[in-house]
Amino acid sequence: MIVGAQAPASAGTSLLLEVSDLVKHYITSSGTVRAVDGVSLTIGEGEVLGLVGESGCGKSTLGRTIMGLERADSGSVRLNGTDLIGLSRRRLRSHRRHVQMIFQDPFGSLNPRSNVQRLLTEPFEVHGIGTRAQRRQWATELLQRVGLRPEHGFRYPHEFSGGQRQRISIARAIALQPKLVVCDEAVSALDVSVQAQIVNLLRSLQREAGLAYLFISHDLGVVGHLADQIAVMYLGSIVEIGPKSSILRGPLHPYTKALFSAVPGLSATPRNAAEERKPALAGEPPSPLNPPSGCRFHTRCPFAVDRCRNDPPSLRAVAPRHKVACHLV
Amino acid sequence: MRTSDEIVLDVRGLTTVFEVPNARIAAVDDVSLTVRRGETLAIVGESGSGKSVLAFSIMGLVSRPGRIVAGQILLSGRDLAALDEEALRTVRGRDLAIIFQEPSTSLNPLMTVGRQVAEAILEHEPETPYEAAMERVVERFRLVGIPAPELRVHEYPHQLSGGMRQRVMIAMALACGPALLLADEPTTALDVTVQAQVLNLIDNLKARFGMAVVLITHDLGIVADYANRVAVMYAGRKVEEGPTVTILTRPAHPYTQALLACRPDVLRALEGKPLLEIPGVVPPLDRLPAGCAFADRCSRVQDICWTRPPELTDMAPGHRAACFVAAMHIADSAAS
Repeated sequence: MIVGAQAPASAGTSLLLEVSDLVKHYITSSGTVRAVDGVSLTIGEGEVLGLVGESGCGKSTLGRTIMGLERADSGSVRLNGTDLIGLSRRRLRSHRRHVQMIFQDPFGSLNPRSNVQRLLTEPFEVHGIGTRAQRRQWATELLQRVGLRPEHGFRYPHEFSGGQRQRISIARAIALQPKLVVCDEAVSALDVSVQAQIVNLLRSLQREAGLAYLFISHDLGVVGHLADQIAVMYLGSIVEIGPKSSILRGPLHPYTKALFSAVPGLSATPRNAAEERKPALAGEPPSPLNPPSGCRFHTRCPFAVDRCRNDPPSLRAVAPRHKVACHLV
Repeated sequence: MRTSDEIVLDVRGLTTVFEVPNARIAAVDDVSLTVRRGETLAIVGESGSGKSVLAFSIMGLVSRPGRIVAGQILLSGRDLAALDEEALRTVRGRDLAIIFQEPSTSLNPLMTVGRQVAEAILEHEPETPYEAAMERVVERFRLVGIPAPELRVHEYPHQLSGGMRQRVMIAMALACGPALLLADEPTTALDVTVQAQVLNLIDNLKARFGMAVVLITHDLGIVADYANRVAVMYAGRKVEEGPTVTILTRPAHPYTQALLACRPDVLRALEGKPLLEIPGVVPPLDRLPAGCAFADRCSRVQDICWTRPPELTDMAPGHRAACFVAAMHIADSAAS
């Protein structure tokens, strides 16, 4: 049950994941890294939230903290109303089957010594589901669902191409019929022609099985193809979040705008190389070790005023479901 | 600056093979290219297309079991493929320079970045005093947009961000004012906002120094923004070549067409349509089919495609494609 006056994540869907004020800091010898610094977001059942940002913005840490792979410092991660933070290991495990994760490098996440059938029966074994014969049957069905053939079950990860290995990771992730899959740069290492296959597979699985994704990527085009909502992260905080069409058609935060205009593009008419370039955003993302005061983007923002240097802006709604953290919007 | 007629790089029929037990793999198979002063030629391809081996071949950096078995690499008229290692070493860094994807693996972690660039200068200009070389390094660092260059020259690679390290590599590449710059996926490891800065920098420096640039990339968006001409590679061969606008808006080869159509694009995302897929994968180079290497993934495949590899055919002035179907189409429209 949802406590309080929380609006459903989107029309017609009920709230699946509710992250509130999540904080994950790392204490290092040179100071505190504010990787995730007060993030709140919601994902409805069957909904895809695309999370974009540059390296070091904390998007992967956010995904891992939601998964329970990193221990949060404070805040809550509610899945169907149950707060996963602070759950005992045993209780967390029974919830974990509802949340699965797919990583960028399937080679690193698939045991090279297990054949594919073994990789796909393992999740059922861990949770004590089904008989041996049933598990094998399910593994075969999973292979077919992700576009592989039953005989692939007897091969080992190294015998597959990158795209096929990612299909195996996806099969493993959906084995236990999770509600939410966290995809961390799941298609970033693939060639364009193969990437399209995997994006379309993720999309059809989401529609068939009513899966929700937290889809983390630096690639706005890929996110655009999968997401219902898009969140933009900068130095540990969400600076803009909203429905895909509002974010892509009318980004409001200066960082979102800069990020979009930096994408070299085919969207516009191809320009002659001799023509004037659009100005690139100056500077590089500052270190999350000692993030700037006030609005963290003020050091690179072309519109920053005095207030931005001192007063951190909070996320506020500018349209239904579209929120921006900027004093000037 | 405008592209001039002066041809800086003229690669003719280059073939680079890797000889391994029981196989002879042609990673670059009969590839010809020209690049003019002030021009950026993009070489586009997926992994296994041979685009990086092509760059390494031009630099003379292919090592056993790989070797160049045919063709010429004419840099300002001089055949690099015929030079020995010692002669190549004087050319490399002075007349042609390369920037790699991952700058941190190309920089010595134990030497300050300023000293590394200074040594690159001294290698080719031994008569220059060290102090004068260092002054030029500071000036080059300023040119490539490294803030506080007088201080940065004394730092070690690990003290710099990825974007700054790539700027150091560019400064080193430009130290002796090369005629040709090879950039092999120079921004793949960088964030998108930093990528734009680095590509704009290369573009501005190209104009300033009147260089020719070969930009190797898998990203058609980068091609759209920075290249004058494009060569598309697939399984070791050049399958299409032409002016950027032609390749991006009227590609003739089904592979180029599919590559453009399967690219996740923000505008297409808003239409809510699924991405076009190219079925299958790039074939392993040791198991290429007898005919066109793209035939088993091609939606327009005909019987002839399985018989022999198609040759490059003119589609329009400056636009060529290696496809039987496209060639038939052109012949038909010329006849009617």
